Amino acid sequence: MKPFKSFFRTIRSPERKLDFISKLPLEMSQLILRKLDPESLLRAAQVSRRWMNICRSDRRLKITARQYKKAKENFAESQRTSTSLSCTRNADANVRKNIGYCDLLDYVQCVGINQVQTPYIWDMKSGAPNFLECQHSSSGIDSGNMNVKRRRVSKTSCEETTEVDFIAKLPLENLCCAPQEYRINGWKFVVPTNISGEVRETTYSLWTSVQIALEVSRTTYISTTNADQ
Amino acid sequence: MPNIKLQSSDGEVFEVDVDIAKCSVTIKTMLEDLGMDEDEEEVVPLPNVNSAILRKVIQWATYHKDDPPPPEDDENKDKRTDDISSWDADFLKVDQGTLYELILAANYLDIKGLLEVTCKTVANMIKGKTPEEVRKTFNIKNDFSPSEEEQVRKENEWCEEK
Repeated sequence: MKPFKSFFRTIRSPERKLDFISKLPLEMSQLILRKLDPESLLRAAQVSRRWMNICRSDRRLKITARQYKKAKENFAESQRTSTSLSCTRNADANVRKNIGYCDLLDYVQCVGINQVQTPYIWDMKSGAPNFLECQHSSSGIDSGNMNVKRRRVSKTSCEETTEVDFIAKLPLENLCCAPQEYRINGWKFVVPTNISGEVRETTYSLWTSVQIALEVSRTTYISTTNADQ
Repeated sequence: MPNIKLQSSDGEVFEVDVDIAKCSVTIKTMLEDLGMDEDEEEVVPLPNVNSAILRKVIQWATYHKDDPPPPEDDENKDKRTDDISSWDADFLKVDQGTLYELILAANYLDIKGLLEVTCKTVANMIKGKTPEEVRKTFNIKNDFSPSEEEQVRKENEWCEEK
């Protein structure tokens, strides 16, 4: 009891900062770290040796981080492919098959889905939602095993598709920092205003995540367009 | 409503509605297993919780006494941390030391809801920050050498399967 009490005395002084993750019992530190999005988790592991070792000690944290890392690598790969793709605009079926959906799926899978808000997506050229296949997950995220549905969105059901659950399955906080609107290859992404009000001070890590997702979706868009031609 | 008495580590006694006290699984089990009769003038000692924290915990439990029981733990547990109610957010506007003690108390008393919301609060202090910003937030010394740090950043070796 004695060390406990003296410890409480020490931390009682106001405004004192405290290294929660190092000081708390391991299970509780893990509980906290499991609540992080993958990008924040990777950064947390860079804070100190102790933090890194706590991350390392938890199987679930490792899986989350590994999947995210892999998706990032896949993304880099798909980006390389898509550069040449957008030049030719006539990708063959094989290329199309290898990029796009799987990357999107990987990405979405590791970012953490079940997070409510989605940006609105539509085709700026026609004003109508484009013909696309969405990766849609209605269940929560789980490492490795996710219930993924494919949904076809028709050209005519304009109303319905303004709220497509698409890439947009980004965690809310990843959207907080995003600009109000993106335009990429004819797609317009609008971040709902009720989110952007909560803009955070620290944006750059989140910004990266958003960019990855948008880039992946761009790849998907290109391959879908080519499929229609 | 029957009341029971809870005694903090520093000797202060709190009289609490039994139903509220029972949101702590630890207290609930104590009452049931040890056959402590609710009507008796017995005092439940809580040697791991001081009066300041116990007061906070009781305040939280009183407000949340009608909450549905929290869902069972499972691997799919929602990762969102943006769903802290405004009452809880206000309740947790405390210094880091108090937040720390609340986490320990919630764990010791086994109050899932309180543990969840306090852990979420700490997670939110980490989210979206660079490692350096996290260090500043919690006053942590960087014990990586610059080259080690670069290596961790690049390779994230820790998450690889071994």
